[in-house]
Amino acid sequence: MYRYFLKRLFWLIPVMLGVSIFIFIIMDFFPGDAADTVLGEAASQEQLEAYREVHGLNDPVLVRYARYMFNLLKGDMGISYVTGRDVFKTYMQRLPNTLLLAFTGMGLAIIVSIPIGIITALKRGTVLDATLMILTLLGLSMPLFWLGLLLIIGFSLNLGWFPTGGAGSLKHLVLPALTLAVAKMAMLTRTTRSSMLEVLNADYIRTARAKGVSKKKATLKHALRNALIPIITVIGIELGSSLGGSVLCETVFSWPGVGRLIMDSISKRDIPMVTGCLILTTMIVASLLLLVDIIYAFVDPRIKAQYQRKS
Amino acid sequence: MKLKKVKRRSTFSEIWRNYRKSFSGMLGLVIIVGILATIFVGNFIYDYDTDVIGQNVAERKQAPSAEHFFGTDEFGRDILTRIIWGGRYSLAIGLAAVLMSSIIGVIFGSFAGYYGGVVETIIMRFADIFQAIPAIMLGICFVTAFGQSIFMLTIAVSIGAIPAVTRVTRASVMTVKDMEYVEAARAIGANNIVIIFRHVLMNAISPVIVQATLRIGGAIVGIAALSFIGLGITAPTPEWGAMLSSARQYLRGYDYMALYPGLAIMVTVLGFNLIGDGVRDSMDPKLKK
Repeated sequence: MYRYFLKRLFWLIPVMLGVSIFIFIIMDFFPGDAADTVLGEAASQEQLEAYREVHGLNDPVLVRYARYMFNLLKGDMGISYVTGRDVFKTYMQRLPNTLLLAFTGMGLAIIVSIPIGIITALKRGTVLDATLMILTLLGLSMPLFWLGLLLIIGFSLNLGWFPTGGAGSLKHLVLPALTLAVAKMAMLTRTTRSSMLEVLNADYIRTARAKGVSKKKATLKHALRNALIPIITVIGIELGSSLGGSVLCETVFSWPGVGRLIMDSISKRDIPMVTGCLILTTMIVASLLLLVDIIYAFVDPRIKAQYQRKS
Repeated sequence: MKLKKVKRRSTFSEIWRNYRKSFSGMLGLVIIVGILATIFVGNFIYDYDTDVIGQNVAERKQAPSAEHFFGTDEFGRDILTRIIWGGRYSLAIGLAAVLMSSIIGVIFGSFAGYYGGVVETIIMRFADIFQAIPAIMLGICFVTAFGQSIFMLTIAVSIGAIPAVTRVTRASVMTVKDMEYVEAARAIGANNIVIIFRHVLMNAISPVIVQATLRIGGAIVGIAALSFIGLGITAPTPEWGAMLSSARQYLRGYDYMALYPGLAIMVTVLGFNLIGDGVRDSMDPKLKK
C-alpha cells in the first residue's frame, strides 16, 4: 500500500512540472513585462531595451523557464517586481490567513452539516426534511460574493456587530468564515443525507437492529461509518476549492490572504509574484487531494485491500 | 426502417415522460423559460443607449419605488432595466461556456476511452495537469493574458471544466466500447471515428448531458465572479456580477443596489440547478424500471 502512495506522491512531480510550464507560457502573454513595471512610464525605449537585455527578458520562453526552474530547485522563486520582496517569503506570510479562513469555514460547515444531514436522512419525506433541502438548494445557488455582501449589509452596516473587512481579531474572522461555510454546508448536508440514505437501507443495519442494537447506535456507529467515504471526498474537494477559490471571499472582505495577494499582483502585472503564487497554491491543493486519497484507505478497509492487491 | 423511427422517438419521449414527473425539474423549467421570456420582451421595450447605459443624474441613487421597482444606481439608471438587459450576457455566455467545455471534453474523453494505451495516457495526464490548477485562477490568468473580450470570457469559464468532462466521458465510453454491437460495427469495416461518434457516444452520452446541465449554474456564477473582481464584462455594460461590484461602494445607505443583481443570479442558478436535478433523475439508469 505504501508503494502505491509513494507512486502517487512521485506522480505529483510531473504534474507540477506540467503546471509550471503551462503557467509560465500564460504569463508570457501577460501585457507588459518587468521592464515596464520596474522602470515605469517615464522610461525611454532605449532604457527599456537595455533593462530587458540585462535581465534576460529577451530570451525565448523555454530558456527563461529553464532558468526559473533552476532557481526554483535552489529554493529561489525570484523577487517581486513591485515591492522587491522575496516571492516565497511573501506567500508564506499570507498563507496562514488563507488557511485559517478555509479551515474555520470548513469546520463550521462540518459541525452543522453532518448532524443535519443525518437528521434529514432519518426523517426523510417530512416537512423538516423538505424545508432543509430547499434551504440547501438555495445555499448552492447563491453566489458566494453576494452572500458576503449581504452579510456585510446585515451584520456590519445595520447591526454593527462585526467589521466590514480586514483581519486581526476573532471578530474579523466571523463573516468571511460564515460566507465560505454556507455554500459548503449546502453541499455537505446534501452529500451526508444521500450517503446516509443509501446506507440506512442496507441489510447490515437491519441485522444490527434485529440483534438489539439501539437505533441511535446503529445510525451513528454502523451507518455513519460506512457513509463517511463520499462525505470525506466532498470535504477534501471543498477544502481544495476554498484554498484555490479564496480570491472571491478575500476580495469581498479585504482579507489579507493568498487570494488577495494574487489579485493585487495580477493587477500590477507582478509576474514573478503571480507565477510563484499559482505554483505554490496548485501544489498545496494537489497535496491536499492526495491526502484525502490516503485518508480513504484508513477509513475504508475495502479500499485498503484494493491498494494492497495493486502493489 | 419504420421500427427504427418509432424506437428513436420513444427514447426521447421516455426521458421527457420521466422528466415531467419531477416537480423540481418542471419548476426549474418554468423559472428559466420565464427568465428567457423576460429578456426577450425586454429587448423590445428598452433601448440600450437611452435606458440601459444612458445616465440620468437627476434620478441617481433612488430607493425602490413605484416608478423604479428596484431603485436606480449611482448614474440614475433603472436597476430593473439593467438586470433584465444583463441577463442575456449571463445566459448566453454560461450556455456557450458549458457547450464549449462539453464538446472539447467529449472529444478528448471519447478518444481516451476508445483508443486506450498511449492516447489515453497522454490525454489523461494533460487532464491531471489542468485539473490541478484551481479553476477560478485559471480563468483569471486567461482573461488577463488574452484580453477581456466576451469570447475570452467564455473560454476562461469553460476551460476549468474540460478535465472533468473528459473524465466522465472516458469512463462512460469505456463501459460501452467493448459491447458486441460496437464489435459488429468494426467487423463490417466502419472506421473508428464513425464508430466513436455514431455508435459509442450515442450510448455513452447521458452522464455527460447530466453533468453539463448541472454545470450551467456554476458557469453563470463563474462569469459573475470574474466580472465582480473586474475581469469580466466591463462598465457600462450591465452584467450582474459587474453591477454587484459597483454596488459595493454604496453598501452604506444604498444597500438595495447590491440586493437585486445578486437575487437575479441566484434565481437563474436555482432554475438551472433544478433542471439539472430533473435531467439527472430522468436519465439516471438506476431509477429506470
